[in-house]
Amino acid sequence: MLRGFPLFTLIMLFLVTGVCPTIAIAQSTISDPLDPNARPYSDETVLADANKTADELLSEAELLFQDERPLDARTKLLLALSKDSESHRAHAMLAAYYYSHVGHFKLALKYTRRALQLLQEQNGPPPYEDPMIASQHAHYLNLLAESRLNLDDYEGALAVLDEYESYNYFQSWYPASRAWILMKTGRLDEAIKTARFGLLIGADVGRSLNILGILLSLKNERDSSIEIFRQAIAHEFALGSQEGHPSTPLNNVGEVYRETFQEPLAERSWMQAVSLPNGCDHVLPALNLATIRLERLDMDGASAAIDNFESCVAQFPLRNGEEHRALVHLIRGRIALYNGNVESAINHLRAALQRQQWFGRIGTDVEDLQAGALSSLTIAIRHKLQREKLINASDETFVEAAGRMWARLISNTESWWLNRRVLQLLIDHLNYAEDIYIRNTDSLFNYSTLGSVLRQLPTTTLERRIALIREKEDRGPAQNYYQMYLAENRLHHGNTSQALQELRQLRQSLRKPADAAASLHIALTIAQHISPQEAEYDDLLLTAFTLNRMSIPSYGLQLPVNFSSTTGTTPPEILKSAFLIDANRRHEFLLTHGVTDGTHSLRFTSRTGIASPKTVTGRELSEVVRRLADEIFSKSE
Amino acid sequence: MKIASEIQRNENTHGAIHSSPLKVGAIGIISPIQTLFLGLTIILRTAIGSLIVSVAHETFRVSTSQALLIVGLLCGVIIGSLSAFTRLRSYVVPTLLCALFLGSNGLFQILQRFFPFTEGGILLPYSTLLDWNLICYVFAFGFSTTWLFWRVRYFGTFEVLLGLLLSVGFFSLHRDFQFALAPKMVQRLAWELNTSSFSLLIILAGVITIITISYLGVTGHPGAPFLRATEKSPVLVQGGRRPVVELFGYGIILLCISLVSRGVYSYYLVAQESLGANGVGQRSAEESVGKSPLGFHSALGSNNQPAGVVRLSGDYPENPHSPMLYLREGALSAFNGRELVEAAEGFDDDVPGTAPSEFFRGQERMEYLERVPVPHSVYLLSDHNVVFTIDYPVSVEPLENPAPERFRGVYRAYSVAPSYPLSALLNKQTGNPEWSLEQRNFYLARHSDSRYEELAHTIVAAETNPAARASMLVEYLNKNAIYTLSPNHEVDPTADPVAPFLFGDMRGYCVHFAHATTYMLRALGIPARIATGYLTDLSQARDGHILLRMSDRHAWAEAYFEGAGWVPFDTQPEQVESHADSEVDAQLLEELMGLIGPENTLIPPEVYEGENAFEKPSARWIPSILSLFMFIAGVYVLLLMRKFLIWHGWHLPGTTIRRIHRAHRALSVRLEDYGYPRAYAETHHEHLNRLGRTLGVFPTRIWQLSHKLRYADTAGSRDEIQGAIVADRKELSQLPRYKRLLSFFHPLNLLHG
Repeated sequence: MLRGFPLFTLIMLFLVTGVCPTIAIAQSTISDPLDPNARPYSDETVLADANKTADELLSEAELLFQDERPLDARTKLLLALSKDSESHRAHAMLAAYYYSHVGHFKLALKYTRRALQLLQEQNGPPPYEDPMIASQHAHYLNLLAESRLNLDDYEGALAVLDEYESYNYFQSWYPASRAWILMKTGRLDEAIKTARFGLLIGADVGRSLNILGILLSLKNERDSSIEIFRQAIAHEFALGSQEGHPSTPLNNVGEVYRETFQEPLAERSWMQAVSLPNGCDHVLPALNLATIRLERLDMDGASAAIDNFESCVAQFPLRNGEEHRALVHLIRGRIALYNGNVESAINHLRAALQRQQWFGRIGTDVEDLQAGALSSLTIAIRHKLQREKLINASDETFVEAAGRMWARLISNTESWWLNRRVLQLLIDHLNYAEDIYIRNTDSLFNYSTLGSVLRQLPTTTLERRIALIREKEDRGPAQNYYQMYLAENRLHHGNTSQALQELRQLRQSLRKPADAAASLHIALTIAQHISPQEAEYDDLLLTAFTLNRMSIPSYGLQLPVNFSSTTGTTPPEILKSAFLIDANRRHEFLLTHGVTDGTHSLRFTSRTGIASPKTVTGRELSEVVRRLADEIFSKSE
Repeated sequence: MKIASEIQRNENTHGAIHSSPLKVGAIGIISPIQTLFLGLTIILRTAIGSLIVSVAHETFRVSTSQALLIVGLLCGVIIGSLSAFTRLRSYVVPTLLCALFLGSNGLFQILQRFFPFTEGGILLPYSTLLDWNLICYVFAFGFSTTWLFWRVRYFGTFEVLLGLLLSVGFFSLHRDFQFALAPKMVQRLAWELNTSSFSLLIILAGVITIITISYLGVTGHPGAPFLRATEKSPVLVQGGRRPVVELFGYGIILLCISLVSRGVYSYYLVAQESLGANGVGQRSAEESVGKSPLGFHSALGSNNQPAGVVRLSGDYPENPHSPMLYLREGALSAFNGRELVEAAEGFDDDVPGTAPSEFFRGQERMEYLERVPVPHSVYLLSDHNVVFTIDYPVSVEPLENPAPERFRGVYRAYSVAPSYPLSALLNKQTGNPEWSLEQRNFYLARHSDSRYEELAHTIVAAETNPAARASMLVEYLNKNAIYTLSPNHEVDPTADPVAPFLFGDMRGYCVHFAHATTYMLRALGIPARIATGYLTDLSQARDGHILLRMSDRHAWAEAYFEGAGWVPFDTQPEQVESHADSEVDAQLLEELMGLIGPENTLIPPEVYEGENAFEKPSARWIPSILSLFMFIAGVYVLLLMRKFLIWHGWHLPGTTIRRIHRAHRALSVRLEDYGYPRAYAETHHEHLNRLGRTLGVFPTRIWQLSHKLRYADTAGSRDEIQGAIVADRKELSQLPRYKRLLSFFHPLNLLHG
């Protein structure tokens, strides 16, 4: 999930360096796009454009790009092409426009290929002696490599860089780009050498450092990686707010901190990254921030991180909206899930699976997203089923009951099927479930609940796979997670006593509050497998209530309460609800029922004040119970 | 043999066996026609099953190989048929399958300890096991349904009914052109075939009908070798006729179909009413005067049908409504006592109202001074009677359609769009000083219900600035009204449809909001009207291309300010009960951009040949009309050759006995082809006698030889056979020549013999 380059580097390189000869700007008479009286598309300017040469139009297009009027610039470029369809410059500028402004990499690739073809037709085959033409050729090759990289054609991109090198071209971006592509093709050692070489000759130091840091973290040399990222951050800050892009290494170092379970440091890095002027250039820092907050069950914090990102992005209406939507839907779905809004979670997660996204510039692949979203969707559907169990359906008609049964059947089948798909994705597309490695950098799994998905694997298979991972594992806190997955798996396969014992031990060893989500999951999983009459059930539910009460019904569990009613009886509507009426013990919570003039009143109170009192009134008791449960066990978005 | 006897009983029941029995593999002794039906049924079942598997494969993104699943299904169908027709007990195959399934899973549990201790070594076999299990499920599906099909009466009917219901369910997933939702198979297929989804749906309906009829035809044919009519049917004995039960069954089927049809009909009725009679939205100019295209019952809602693509030629950063963009199609300013309708000529002349194929030139206006030029092109994806543009259009001209099979019309509009900040309206007067008194009064025509005026004055209180007053009205509705796609107010056709909204539950959609705002604006003395068209979000555009959907259709209030012209005063309710907000299908937009973009003419395809990104995904093989024709012609020719061999079989080498058999068969087939078949329970002798009596033809020599061979066991000499053949042919030659010629080529005769 590590981020590669700043998005606009290429276009700026293209515009600022030798490709667009400054001489053309000096010679042409161009209208000032900033002048409100010289609108580019008034009748006069249309006429004027018709009389301009292609070079003049290209120069004006450059100025319009700088003025952030990309559509005006695009129209100028197309007009220039209609005047001179053999202009390789115009093709290359359009390629750069589609690459950086639109994110339409296929079009960028088409225009680049045409630009290269025209350049060669007009100047013969490379190598070129004229430094201007050689420089243009080099830039077109760069555009071609970048377009292919963004279309996930890594071998193709590498072939272009080989060609680039064969003409003895060199520009500062080259080592870092090559290292990145080598990393994408899995040639880590070669990539590290290339990045180090880039650093040695001082070529684009910021990017080289950044990529080297990523590569070292992939090689599990985390301390070295952190040190390199520190240098990268310092370097980017030193470049100043205009040139420097510190949010990229800040995000990456945060990911290494997270991997090494240094959550406060990770959070600090991401907070710093999102607070920078270019903090919403990419979704990853915000996504990471939200994820780490979710792991300690800070749903408001997680929501705020994504809200801030979206409001920041909204300032750039021309930015390609597809780029981050899938990831935003994914994290919003998880937040909704922890908030007890299961339907909303399901909708978000389905939307995450629908959105198309290119991943060439980040380490994450589309399969990572699919696996992450599918696993959360599986759990969301299970939670939905569990919550429905607690709804009192005594007043529903036969048709409603049949409809509900059918819906349950469909949901059960879907959950089974999605779980199966996650496992196949894990095995077939994610390097034989390498993502089980806790906090794998590229992974988009929610590690706190991954065990619920892995439980379908045969126990021996999972044991052997985890044993392989543990051979290379040197991070203490990660062991708890592996143990949790194994225990959940044993629980699912009927080895209940051993599994429960392991889970009880794990409850003591998980970190607080960093592993709060895992603690919650374990507490509720144990509670699912013991009798509600046991004292431990009370303890577990109280812990869960303190951590995140919205999750309790999602596991099909009832909150034990003491009950008192003015009628002196326990109405059946309350018996099948999110509350467990238990008169045998003194509980933390008290439910008081009263009836006045046919209006039911239900009050929920806590003896020690861990929850604020809530009262709901209404004519129908079943409706009152449902509303009270909603108020306690779900949180509006 | 049990099977042979059962089939013989079946033959006797139906009386449809014409030829001598034939031994066919393990099935036992069944007639050729039964073999044919058995084969056809297996092929048809496998084809339909494969279709279901393919659709499920794509819908549920199954990673297991589709070919393997189809093989599993085919095996299930074949073994299901074999199991139904052999002496195997019914439980044998299911038991074997369960044993195989459990055994393979158990074996894996044991063997996994011996797999190499590497990532792949542990997990890869498990992935294979998952694939294997899925193939087993598909096999079980094919086996069980096929077995039931042969053994249980009416199971075929049940399957047809279920298949039709599944088809309805599958197609309903595509309703409203929900391009953003899976499955998108119909849309994708329509795209590949370069046809509209509507046309494809009609084609698919035709295909399903043909498959259903074929299925019913094959399964309902008296020659089909069903076992379910036998007394020893192991599952369900369907003895004599049960008219009450059958009537009840048919009643249920009809009820189901009626309910489904009713649901679909109701759903589309609402959409159709909202769409207008012919094409989308506004009617043509002359038809629409005094009418309104808007409905008050329910909105288009989540209908994601693409309506068009707008391509901006330049940036429009001065847009005061950014990121929203209004595209006006029509205006409703005349009040008819119930609602606002389109005005007669002389009013709203800023709205083109011209067809997409016509030219339009706008008048010079003072309002242009505070506006900027925004040229744009519109590529219509559904029929529109009139153009829609960014206001104000200075000119509209039709363009050459780059993809006539995709776009219904293309035009370019040169508009001058607002560039004033909304705050500037505070300094402006309402109305146009150039308006006549009649025009001014027209745009101020008030609603007869005084409650609008009372409410408007209550909302604005002491505020006197017209722009501020208008904003306060909008703000009031934003805060207090609820947006819903289905307000479902019950309103008398002559009653005011807005009153139940504004003075009732305050639940409504854009039409209610726009009317309420306009009435209140007019009550405050601000010239106002309703504009109709599209409202879209520019932030969802790519490269200046905006995909408009039916859900983007909108109506909004507009007020006239001097120097600025008609200004939208649109509501954005804070409380939303249901809304039509959905994301644009980026993939569809990209594909449409590919059709519009100039790169198609600028860059020859060979330039980017070989790029991995442009490798086309394996397209579905869809047979062309010619290939289908060639296939049918080929089959026809093969069957003709077969017929020729039957007619002239005695010329082929063979023993005398065989030649007599062939000659006898040729005679029978020829008579059948000529239209004189042997009647039911008629002997050959009686048949030939009948021919002699009715036609005067006596082709009896071959029959006599055959009779002699069968009962006297004497074959006769070669010359005798040759003579008999010649004699019978001579007899037959008395029949009309044209009849004999036509009977040879007649397609319905091809299967005789």
